[in-house]
This record gives sequence, C-alpha cells and structure tokens, in this order.
Amino acid sequence: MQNENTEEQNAPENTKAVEQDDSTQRFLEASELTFTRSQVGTARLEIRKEACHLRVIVRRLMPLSHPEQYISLAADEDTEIGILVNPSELAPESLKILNEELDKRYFTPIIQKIYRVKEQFGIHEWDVQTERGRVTFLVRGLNQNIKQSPPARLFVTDVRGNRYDIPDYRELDAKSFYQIQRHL
Amino acid sequence: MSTADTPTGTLDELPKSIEDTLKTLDIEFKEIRFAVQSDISSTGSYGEEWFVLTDVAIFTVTGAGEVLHYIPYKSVLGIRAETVVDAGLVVLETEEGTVDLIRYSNGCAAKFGFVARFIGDEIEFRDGNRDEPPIWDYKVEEHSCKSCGLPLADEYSPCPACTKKHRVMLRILTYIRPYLGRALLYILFVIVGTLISLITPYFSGILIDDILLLNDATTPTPDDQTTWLGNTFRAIHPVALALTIAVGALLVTQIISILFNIIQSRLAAWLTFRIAANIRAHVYDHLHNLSIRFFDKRTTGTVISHITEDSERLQDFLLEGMSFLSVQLFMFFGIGTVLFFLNWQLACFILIPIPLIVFGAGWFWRKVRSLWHRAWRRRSKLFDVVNDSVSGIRVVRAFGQQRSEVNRFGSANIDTRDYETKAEMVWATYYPPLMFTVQFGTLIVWYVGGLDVIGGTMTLGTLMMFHIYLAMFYEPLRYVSPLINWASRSMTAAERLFEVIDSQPEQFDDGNLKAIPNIVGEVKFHNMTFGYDAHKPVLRDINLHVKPGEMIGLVGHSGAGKSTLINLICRFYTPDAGRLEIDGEDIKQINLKDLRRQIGVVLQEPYLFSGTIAENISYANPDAAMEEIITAAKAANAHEFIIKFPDGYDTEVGERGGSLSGGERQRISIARAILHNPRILILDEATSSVDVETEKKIQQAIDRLVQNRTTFAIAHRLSTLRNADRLFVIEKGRGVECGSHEELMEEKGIYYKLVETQKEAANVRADAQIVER
Repeated sequence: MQNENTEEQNAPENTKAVEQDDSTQRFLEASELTFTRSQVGTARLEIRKEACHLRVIVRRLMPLSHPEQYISLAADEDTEIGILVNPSELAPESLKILNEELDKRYFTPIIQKIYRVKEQFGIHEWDVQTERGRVTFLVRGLNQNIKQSPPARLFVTDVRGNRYDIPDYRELDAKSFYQIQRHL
Repeated sequence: MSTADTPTGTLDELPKSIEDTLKTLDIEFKEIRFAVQSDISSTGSYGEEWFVLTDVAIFTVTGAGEVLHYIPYKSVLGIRAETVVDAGLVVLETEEGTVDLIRYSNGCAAKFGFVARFIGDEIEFRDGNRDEPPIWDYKVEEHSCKSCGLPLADEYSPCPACTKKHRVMLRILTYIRPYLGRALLYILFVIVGTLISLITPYFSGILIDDILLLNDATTPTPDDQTTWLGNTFRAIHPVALALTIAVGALLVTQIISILFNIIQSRLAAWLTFRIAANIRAHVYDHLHNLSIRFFDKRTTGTVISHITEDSERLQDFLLEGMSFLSVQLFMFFGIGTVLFFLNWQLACFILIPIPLIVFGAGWFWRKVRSLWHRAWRRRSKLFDVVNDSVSGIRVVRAFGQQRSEVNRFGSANIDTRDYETKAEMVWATYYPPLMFTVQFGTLIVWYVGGLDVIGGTMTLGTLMMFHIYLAMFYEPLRYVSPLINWASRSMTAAERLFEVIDSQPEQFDDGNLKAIPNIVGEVKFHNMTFGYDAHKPVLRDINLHVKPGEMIGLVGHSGAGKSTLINLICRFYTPDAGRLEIDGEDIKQINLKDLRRQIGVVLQEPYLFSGTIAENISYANPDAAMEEIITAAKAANAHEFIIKFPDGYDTEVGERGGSLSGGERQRISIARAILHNPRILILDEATSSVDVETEKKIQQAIDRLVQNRTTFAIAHRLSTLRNADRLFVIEKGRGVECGSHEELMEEKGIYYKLVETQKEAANVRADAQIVER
C-alpha cells in the first residue's frame, strides 16, 4: 500500500511537463486511461507512461446539458489533471469505476413518478419514486423551491436542502403530471 | 488519547440491534461515544447507514447490521466532510490511505459536518496541534415552529400554520384601535343608513296596495278622461294627495340616505388611509430592523413590491372593499329579517339557491386565489427582469445585447400575460354561472309569489315590495365573487406584509445586552467558526487578537473569507462556534445600537443616497454643524472638488451618486466615515476602483482616517496595505499567517507568493505600457 504513494513520483519528468502546460487545457485520450479500485476503495487513475493518481476526483463540466461527456479529472480539489471528453471510449471496467465515482459525486435523485403532492399551510409533502428509491420530502412554498429551466426541466428543493430533478415534466405519466401541473 | 466530553443524546440514537452486533465483534470497546445516521447507503440508493464512534474505533454499519468499515481511531490522521453535488461524503485520511467512509444527503449535512469538525479538532488536539479539546456544541440547524413543529425557512420566518387566514383580517382590524371613536361612528352610520334604505321599498309597497290599487274603486271611468286639465284637476283628488305625500316621503328618505352615504364614505376614506399608512410605516420600520439574512434570501424586487404594491392593494381594499362589505353585510341580514317578517314561506324559497351560491363561491375562491398568487409571482419576476437589465444598462449597451434583453423581458412578459389571462378567464367563465344561481331566486319568487297573488293570499304590493327587497338582498351575493376575488388578493398582500412584520428582528436591545457607550477597540477572535450555512464553514478556527488602534490588513485570495470576517465584526451574522469579543465582551452580548454606532465602513462601491453632498456626509450624524462637515470633507480630500461645483455642498447627488465620479463618491464616503468618528473602522477594497492619481488622494484621506482607530482593511492591491501594523492572511477560511509585511516576506509563505505574483503582474502592465508607446 505504501508503495502506491510513491508511484506518482515514478514519472517526474512527465508530471513536470503537465505543470508547465498550465495555461492550455489538457484533453485526455480515453485509450491512455485506466481506472482501478485501490484497496481502501478509492478510484485510482493511471495515465499510461505518465502518472498514477491515488484518489482521482471526477466532475461533470456540463452536468445538465452533457452529463455523460466532458468529465474533468483532478488529483485533488484544486489540481486538474485533464478533461475526458468521451468516457464511453474507456475500457468497460474503467468506465464502470468512473460511473461509480460520478454517482458518488452527483446525488440528484431523478423523480420518475409522483404519487402525491399534498399541501398544508404552504408546505407541500411530496411522495415520489426516484431511481434511488421511493422517498417523501417536504417543500416549502412553490416559487423559491421549484426552479424551472427551459424548456421543461424542474429542480425541486426540499426543506432540508436536498434537490430533486425532473428532467422533462412533459414526459411524466399523466397521474404524476396531474399532481404537479397546478404548481407550474 | 484524550477524549473530550462525551456528548449525550444530542445526535441519533443507535438501534439496540446494531449495538449488539458491534459487541459481538472481536474488537473490544468500552462505550459508544456517539452514532450518526445517514439516509443513503454506500450503493447510492436511499437507505439507513450508521457512522459509529466508540472509544477505540470508527465503524460504519448498514441498517441491517453489516459492518462496512472498521478503522482504529488512532490510525485516523484527518477527517473531513466533503460536499458533493446535492450530497456529502465523510472522508478519512488514515495511515492506510484515503477512505470514502459514508455518504449522506444534504439533509444530514449539518450533523455530519459537525461530527467531522469535532473529530478533526479532537485529532488535532491529540496530535498537539491545538491547545484545548473541542467543545461539543452541536445545535439543530433545522428551524421549525415552536408551537406546531412545522419546518420554517429560517429562524426569522413566521409559521404559516399558526398565522391563519382569518387572523389576517383580525390583525388588520387591530390597526383600527387608535381610531376607535371614528370607527364606531362609522358603524353607526352604516346601521342607520341601512335602516333608512330599508324604508324605501316599504313605502313602495304601501304606494301600490294602499294608494294605487285602493284607488281602483274611485277611479273615474275612461270617458271622463277627456282633457289634460281634467287630469290635473283629479290630481288634487284625496288619493292623489296621498300619492304626492308618499312620493314626497320617498324623496326625503332618499335624500337622507344620500347624505348618510356621503358622510359614511368620507369616514371610510379617513379611516382606511390611516390604517394603510400605519401598516406601511410598521412594515418599513420593521424592515430596517431585520437581520441581513432576511435580505440574503429575497430579491430587491420582492422587498420593494412588499412595500409599494402590497400595501397599495391592501389600502384599495380597505377603502372600497371594506366599506362596501360592511354595508352589504348589514343589508343582507337586515333585509333577510324583513323578508321573513313579510312572508316567511316565500322567504324560505329564496334561501334555496344560497347553499349552492356559498358552495360555488367557496370553490371559486380557492381556484381564483391560487391563480392570482401565481400571476403575482410572475409579475414579481417580471419586475426583477426590468430591475436587472436597467441596473446593468451600460453592460447591455456595451455588448450590444439590447435585443436579447428585450427578448428576455418579452418572455417574462408573456409568461405574466398568460397567467393573468388564465386567472381572468377562469373568473370570466365561472362568474356568470354563479350569477345565474343568484338570479334563480328571483324566478322562484315570481312563480310562488305570483300564485299567492292569484290565490289572493298576498297583495300585489307585498309581492312588489318583496321583489325590491329581494334585489337588495341578492345584491351582496351578486358581488360576492368579485369581492372574494378582491378580498383574497388583498389578504395575500396583507399576509405578505405581515410576513415581514412577523419576521424576527435583530436583537437590538432586550435589556440584557451590555451597553458599551465607548468602545476602546480591542477585537479578539477565539477559535471562531462561521458559515452562511452552518454545515459549510466559510471561516474556521480563527484566532486573532487586535489591540486598540491597530490596523490589520486582511489578505487572501477572493473567496477566502475576508469579507465574511468583516460581516461578523459588523455583527450582520453571529459566529457558529468560538467567540468574537470586542473589548473583552462577547459580541452577541453587546447592545447592537452601541456597536453599530461605533463601527464605520468604507466600501468599494460607496452608496450615496439622493440628497445633497452635505446630507450624505452627515448621514450618520444629521445634527453635525456645517463646520464639522467641511472639516471632515477637507480631511477626506473631498473639499477641493466639492467647492468647484456650482452648488458646492448643496449639490444634489442623484440616485447612487450617478453625477459624481467613483473617486469623488469614495472621498465623500470617507468624509462620512470621518464625521461618524467610529472606534472600529472597516475598509473594504476602498481604493480598488479608482485611478492611480485619485488613489493617492484617497490613500492620504484614509491615512488620516485610520489614526487612533482599530482598522480592518481589505485590499487586493497589497501596496495599499503598507501602513497596516499587521497582516492577517486567510486561506480557505483559515488564518494561516499573521505578522508585519517584513516578517511575512521573511517567512516566504502565502503572503510572499501573493506579493511576488502582484509584482510580476505589475511588471507585465509596465511592459505593456512600454509596448503601447
């Protein structure tokens, strides 16, 4: 395990080259990258013939418009390694790990079905099905906590600060749509 | 390892089954110190998962009792709560490497944030990087109503459940109290006015039955009606005389009725404008006592419309709606009684449509109300769009984006139009059917009453009287929907006004706060932590002791937390943990009025109010003598340009000081601060938006201003901080370096790097200038 810590120093010249190239954006080739799981469970990124990063941080650059593309890979919070434009070109095992990491970093449940929205004193109780399971939450008022982004995407924020995503309310089933239509 | 006080019962209660599972493991432990429940499983779906800290180790366990992680406490090097998108993650640094320990949703962020901070501090204490063990000061972040438990937006919001709709009306009435005499007089006039108008139909009934119909027997045959003169002659016939008297009586009652109406309306006007003005004054007064947090959560457009539109709407309703409502309500019951008195069987028939009307109106009420609420929100949004683009009109022009701004307005405008149209169309659709149900009663009376007249059980006069009364009886019902429509809009407006009034104000002085009439200027931060959201600290463990009269330069990258530190000194917010002391007194315990009176602020974008230059300089001290104002302006290097204006100190400064240059406005705001003579002075980027020449003048003025005052100065141009006694470097919310310029340059740390970077930038600029030449 301790060995891993030193891996980064195995390719000193290349790391330096990356640092110098600070002003231009680096785009990574999927074919150069391999993701693996370390023993403690973090995602390790190996860039062929260059470096190995023990706990790579993944971020979507366009999480709303292009969630599956433009992934920024970083060695830590402040040090970006580069951008992977098309993760789908990765080897299946690497892609799986990348997706797991993305899932860990982006927790915005997508509302698939709305069973009921009940209002009492300006507090709306939502009972919904998301891809992460069924959940009930409270939303205060309507204006501030349901944000609409064109054309038909809705973000609902509950009283505890959790956010839920309805990518296109027009695609909800009729029953679900009926529950929220008067709030649009 | 030393453990701090073990918390009791403030976090989540670990289920017995999981505790038992942990005890069956090979790992020996004495006690469970605390457990925190997460709502997300490690796979990312909703589920129960536990973070457990015992005296020897950290565990994570699933709700089913399966142990996911076991990490000996002594191998933990660091811990942090990492914020990801819409969730969080506790990350451990261990001897083995970095471990992603447990995931949680935003709802649990506050408790996990606290736990990570607590354990982190404990580890630092264990490793000797901290002087004292952390204090367990976990407080529940979620705000809920004290009486009903409903979750609230923030600690300042009123509970929507406990401020019920009907109470809104009652609350408006409490504003009548100062004018009780006139209000009673008004009610008297309403009652008497109604009684008078009840007389008119009664006379009409008598007119028909006792004069016109009785006359049948004595009416001359048609043959006699030869000349107009003959008719006139017959007019002085005894019956005709009775007719004249009856009509005369009708005329007199109507004139009296009109007189009463005039007086009553004048009284209503007198009353309602006073009530509305008082509510407005109350709201505005309250607005200025509210915490800055209240304004953080609302746009300027919303707050402005609270004051202007909402109070106007309420006023209109009070003026016309209320007097209309009170008159009609009294009429309704007055006439109802008369109708039953006249013919109770027939009166029963006219009650038939009433449940339908009430039920229909109730349904209508809810529908229209929510529609108007939505339309109002669209309108408020529209106002925001206008505000936004007019404020930034120069940027719009510079980038040639007029078209897109117009389009942006256009779509918001259309949105507003659609919602308002929809609301109005719903009204237009459901109002006529509602009206029909109201009219239906008249048809019943014609039929049933007509049968009675034919059958001889009722006179024609009574039927006619009944009809006139019926029209008056249904009159209030006829207006019930527009009135409800109107009332509901006004009640929502009133609710919003009361929402402002009910929001908790800042504690200026509740008697327990300590008065500090003369601040010496010693400021001390002790392990102070603060975040706008308590679980996301912006400042962490700040320790700084500032002596009276010292000038501290705050240095750091943007977003490091410099302005936040200043907001705390102004007590716009209070620390979440640790202490901030002024003259050895906890800032929370200081009388706010005393504190603010002795703090002066010079901002990057000085705000000048419309008024003269002299008024702006003496803003905080309106009683200042002209000599003092001039002296202050002189010290601020403002005098020299003020005298060049044709109107001198009486020059009107437009909205936001538009007619002055940035440097001029800045110098006026410095003069304002000098005259204010604060003990603690805050300079927030005071010289960053002016040219070099002006900067010199301002710098000079500031140098004079900071004499003998405790000063906190933020500046990106580090050269402007050269007079600071000490520099306090903030990096990612932590105080990392503190010392004089020389000391910090010696240290070659973050400050050194910043200075070097700026030097490079200055060289680049110099080079660029050479190239340009």
